[in-house]
Amino acid sequence: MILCIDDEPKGLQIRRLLLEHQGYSVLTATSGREGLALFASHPVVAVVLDYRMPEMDGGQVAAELRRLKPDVKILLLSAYLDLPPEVLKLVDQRVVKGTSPTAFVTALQQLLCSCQNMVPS
Amino acid sequence: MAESKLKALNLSLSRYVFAAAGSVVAFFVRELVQLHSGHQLPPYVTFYPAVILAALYAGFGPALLATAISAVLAGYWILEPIGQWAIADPGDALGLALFVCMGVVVGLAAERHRRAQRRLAEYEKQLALQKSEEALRENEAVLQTVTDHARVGLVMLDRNRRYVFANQAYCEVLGLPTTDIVGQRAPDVMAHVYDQIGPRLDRAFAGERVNHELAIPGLPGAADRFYAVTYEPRRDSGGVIGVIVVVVDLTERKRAEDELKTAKQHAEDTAIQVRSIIENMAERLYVCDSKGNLILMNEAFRRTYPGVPAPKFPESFAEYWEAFDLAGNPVPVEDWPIGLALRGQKVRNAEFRTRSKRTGEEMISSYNAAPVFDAQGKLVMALFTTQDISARKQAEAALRASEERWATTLRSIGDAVISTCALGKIIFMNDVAQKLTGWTLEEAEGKDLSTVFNIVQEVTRIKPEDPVSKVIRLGKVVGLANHTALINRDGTEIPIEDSGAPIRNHKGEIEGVVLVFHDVSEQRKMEQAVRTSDRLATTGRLAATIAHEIHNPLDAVGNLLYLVQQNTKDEQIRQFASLASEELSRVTQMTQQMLTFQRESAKPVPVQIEEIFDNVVALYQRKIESGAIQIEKQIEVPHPLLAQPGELRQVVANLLGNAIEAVGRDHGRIWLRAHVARDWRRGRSGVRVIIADNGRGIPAGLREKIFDPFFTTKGESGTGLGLWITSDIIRKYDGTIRLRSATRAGRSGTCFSIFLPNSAVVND
Repeated sequence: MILCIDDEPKGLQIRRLLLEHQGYSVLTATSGREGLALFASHPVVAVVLDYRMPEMDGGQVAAELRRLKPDVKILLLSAYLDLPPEVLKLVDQRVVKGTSPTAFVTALQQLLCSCQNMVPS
Repeated sequence: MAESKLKALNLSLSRYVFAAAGSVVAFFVRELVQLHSGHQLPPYVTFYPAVILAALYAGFGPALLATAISAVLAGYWILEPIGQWAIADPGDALGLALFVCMGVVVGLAAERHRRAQRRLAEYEKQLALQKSEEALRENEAVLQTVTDHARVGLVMLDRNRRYVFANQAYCEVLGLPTTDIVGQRAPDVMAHVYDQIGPRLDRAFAGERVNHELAIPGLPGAADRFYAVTYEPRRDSGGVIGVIVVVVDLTERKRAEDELKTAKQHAEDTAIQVRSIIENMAERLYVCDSKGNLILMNEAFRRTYPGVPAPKFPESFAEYWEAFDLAGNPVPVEDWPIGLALRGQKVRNAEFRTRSKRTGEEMISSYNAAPVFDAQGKLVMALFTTQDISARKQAEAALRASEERWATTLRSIGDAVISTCALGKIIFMNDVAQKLTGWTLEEAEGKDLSTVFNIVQEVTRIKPEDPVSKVIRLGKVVGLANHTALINRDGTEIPIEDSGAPIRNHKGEIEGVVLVFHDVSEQRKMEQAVRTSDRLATTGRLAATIAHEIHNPLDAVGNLLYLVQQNTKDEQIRQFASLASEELSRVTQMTQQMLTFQRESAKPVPVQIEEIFDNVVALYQRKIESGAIQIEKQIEVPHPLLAQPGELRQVVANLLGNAIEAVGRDHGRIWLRAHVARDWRRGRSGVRVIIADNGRGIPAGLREKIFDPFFTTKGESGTGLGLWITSDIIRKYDGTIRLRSATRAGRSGTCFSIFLPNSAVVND
């Protein structure tokens, strides 16, 4: 189960389509708070996290996720290039938004390789 | 009268007696001689002489008497008969008669002679008298002349106090004619002062010689008159018969004496004053003779030589003091000011430092010395005065130091300062003002401000209001019009900003104007740069914001296109989707570059240039290998730079990317160099980074434009932002970037030379 958090709903939907096309089951949340709530109540293995969000930014969410489940895989997906190092430390992988979908998917796969929980069909 | 009559009688009586006696004596003489000699003498032998003598010396009468007596005697005692009155011999009688006649004749003759004698004597007496009278008159005349011309009054008074004689001078003294004086009595003539004269006159008539001073009060309006009067008693055998009075007019002399006394008093007072001044003056005064022996020294000087009663130059001076000129060179005692004065030189305001050999006390004094010559030009004295100016010197030094500080301050401030008097004539310009106006202070001093400070409105070219008149008119600090340009003497225009302020004296009146201005060209450039930078920043921020916003839809579209490609078997649709993806990635590239442009400001960290180079080369490794490009690295920067590594990487990447593009696949060469360097224009040290290639070069016409945003020579593959961003990053580091390029075949190439100042370099 992948959790996608992004304040931009359309992009979120398309991302879900893409990931589901790859065979993952996806949960979506449009805010950090919503995401955390879902995270707490569902068996989420990886989180695809946007950085710039109102209310709680990606860094804060990541910190909270780490607290709740230290070994969760977090993929930071952001348009920003200069991210604060402490945030980068919190996340496992970082992909620049807008790079090719393939790169994104590959990165996610690499992240989940260790999990071996989900096998794309 | 009776006496004289008696005398006369006696006289004539004695004459007769004499005559008679002579006759008798003659008789007896004859008798005696006759007796002695025994001869008979002629009878009248002795009678004749007796009669003649009587006639000569006694006169006719006595001669007759003598004759008579002789006749009688002869007749009685000599002629025969002796003892009788008869004469026997008629011859004898004749002789007798003859004798008598002779006697009468002789007597008469003698009488005539006597009378003649008497007349002669009288004539002589009269002549003598006349002569003596004449002489007397002459004397009198002389005396009168002398006495008249005598400046002293001379009079003679007789016992009745009556003026017997008065000379002209005396008459003038009294103001009376001689006739009113001579013959008058002194008590009457001198009634108004007779109380002073009378007693003295009395003493003089008693025989005393009296002197006194007589004061005659002047008439109203006239001064008192003073006389020295001497009373000289005139004596004869009977005592004082008169008094000669000598009157000397003392008035003038008295006045002269009084004036002299006053003058003397005045001189004494002056001398006392001078003495007092000399003693009390602060300057030390020393006067000596031509040999250096003391003549005079004042109190102030004495205090410098306590215990030395008569300091002598040069011995005493050399013993007590040593002297130096203000440069510190010792001055030998002969050349001290008093020494020079003794050699005839004047010394004015000579300044020396002196040191007491006894106390070590030092002071700086100002000396004036001068020689004094007598009428023949011989040096008789020398003197010097000296004043302690140590305090003044200190004050002068302090003032100079203060002025120096002000001058330095004025020189040091970056602004130009011009000060003028109230009429607008230049008094002072500091260095910056001189540089900007092109006039030196010497040339500008005294000239009108407008001559030197030639300002013009940049756009309208109108000459603005003269700053001095504006300040004076408004009486307060004024800034001048915007966009004013100062036209330098050589014609260059310098944009300036300025302000003028009134200079007020302690009464609050405006004494002048001070104008402060500075060249704003740099400022304008900076402002322009800031504006540009702001624009860039704004643009950048804008771009970044847009870019960021764009990324979401980009991402979404990218994903969708991917899904389209995956979910269709239609080859054409797949192709369309694929092309769309490619275009989309170009947009992404652009936005990404724009995002790198707007960074979160992170703190600069020490960065090693070599590392940056290596990172970037690694980034382009594939392209380098595929183009067979030779990279040459030469790094000589011992210290790390303080920078954001991303930015430096961006710069190097842009330039390296361009270089790789330029050399193509032609076995090109790229040089990467970095070394410590200096920016000579602004005097900074830093690091020079050089990225050069031997590619095709940049044509001359394009070299300026390549730094413009959205300008690219890479056709469709370039974004046109690379060098724009690069130059912006370098500007942020206050560095410089220079471009050299050549396009001639065989010698073509491009070299970018970047200078990053040391403010960006970390000093450990």
